[in-house]
Amino acid sequence: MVGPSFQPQPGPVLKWALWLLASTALAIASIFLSEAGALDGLRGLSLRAVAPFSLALRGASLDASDLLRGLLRRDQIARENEALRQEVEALRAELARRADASQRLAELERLLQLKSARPQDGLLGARVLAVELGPLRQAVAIDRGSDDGLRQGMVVLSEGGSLVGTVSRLYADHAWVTLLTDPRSAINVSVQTGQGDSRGVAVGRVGQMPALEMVPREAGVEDGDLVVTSGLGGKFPPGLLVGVARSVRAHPQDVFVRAEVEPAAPLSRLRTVLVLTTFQPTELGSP
Amino acid sequence: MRYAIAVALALLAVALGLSAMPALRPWGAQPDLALVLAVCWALVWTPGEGVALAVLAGMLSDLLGPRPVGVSVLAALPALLLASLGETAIAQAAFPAALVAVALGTLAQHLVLLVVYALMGEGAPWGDALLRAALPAALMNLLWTPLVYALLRLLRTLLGPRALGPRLGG
Repeated sequence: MVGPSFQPQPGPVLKWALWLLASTALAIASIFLSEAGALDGLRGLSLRAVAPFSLALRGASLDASDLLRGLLRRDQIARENEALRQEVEALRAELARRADASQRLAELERLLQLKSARPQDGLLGARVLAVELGPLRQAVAIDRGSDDGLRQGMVVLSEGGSLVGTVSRLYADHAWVTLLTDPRSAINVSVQTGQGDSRGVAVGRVGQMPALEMVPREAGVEDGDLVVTSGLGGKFPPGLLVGVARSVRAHPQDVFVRAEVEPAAPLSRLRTVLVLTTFQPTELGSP
Repeated sequence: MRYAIAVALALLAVALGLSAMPALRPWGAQPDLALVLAVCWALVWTPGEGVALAVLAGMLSDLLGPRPVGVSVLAALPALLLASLGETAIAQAAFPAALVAVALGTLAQHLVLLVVYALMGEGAPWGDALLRAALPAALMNLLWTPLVYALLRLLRTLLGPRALGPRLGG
């Protein structure tokens, strides 16, 4: 007579531990594979596959967000609209003055047979496929890659021409652009103050707007001063609009101004961007 | 049936995270719907299924994002571990367990991310990251937890007891 036999079964805790261990091993193996570039093809394929759905969803949510903002801030928008009308008028007047000045400059250049040092900017339009606006990483994916002539470090602008960031990860048919607000970002800038230009650095921070650093207190930076790229370091051409100075604090005991840079480009609402293809960023060596 | 729903919800959470959520960021913080979904699923159904969801959503989210693939899965596991503890210790109070697992799990998630980025040489200041990234994210995830949990409870009621089926991974 044979008695009942017991098959040892793994308990729920053991099963659960194995399950967790397997997931951890899978995650770590994926990180190594991903860093070795073994998953690049799969990344491109996935992004392309979900792009139509993602773009539609993003478009709808941007529209919904616009509508909600419009409803909540109707009075403020009316005031902003009036201020913008006045600004447009002032800018038109300035443009007319500059057009006249540039015409005279062109005449002088012709007379002196000088050529412009900078060729005409070449811009390549790209659609934003995905957005990552986490506090530790701020980047957008665009539908242009190395097959379209993009290279690492190329400068990316908004439709309005202000700085968005630089191409940081390049694939054959798409690329990731690290935004100027990413905590790893540092841009040599020039602040256009009432007393002239003053150089500094716009440094990305975790969960905050970039900080304006290394600008001397005597520069007289005020809220609303324009911040543009200085061209120092060779990574960005000079004169690109980065944003405006905000929350300016200059204590008498401070050597440098404390301020933030509010980006001019609508980074959370980008749909299309322009890649500056004619500017080649340079990596400066030690002096 | 519920596995198909789980996969669909995970895909939706990832898609929303990469498309709609960055555009609708109240107070500048963005919820991690995939993490909230995985934790709530673990408590409404089984922890094993929660982990499976976290793996699926994390892998997909990393494939579609700028992070190294797998880092989101690794970062989500502490939250799932907390959820499994919640399930065994206070089975009668699954909703408070979900809140605790989501809040502490989000903080742990950011710690894991910071460690991985630091190992990759792309570290961020820890104080800033915890104060300005982890805490707002934990609060935002907490706000979404009741909604996601209620949705899953409703789903479980609608699917009925027959929908429970085999327990995956414990």
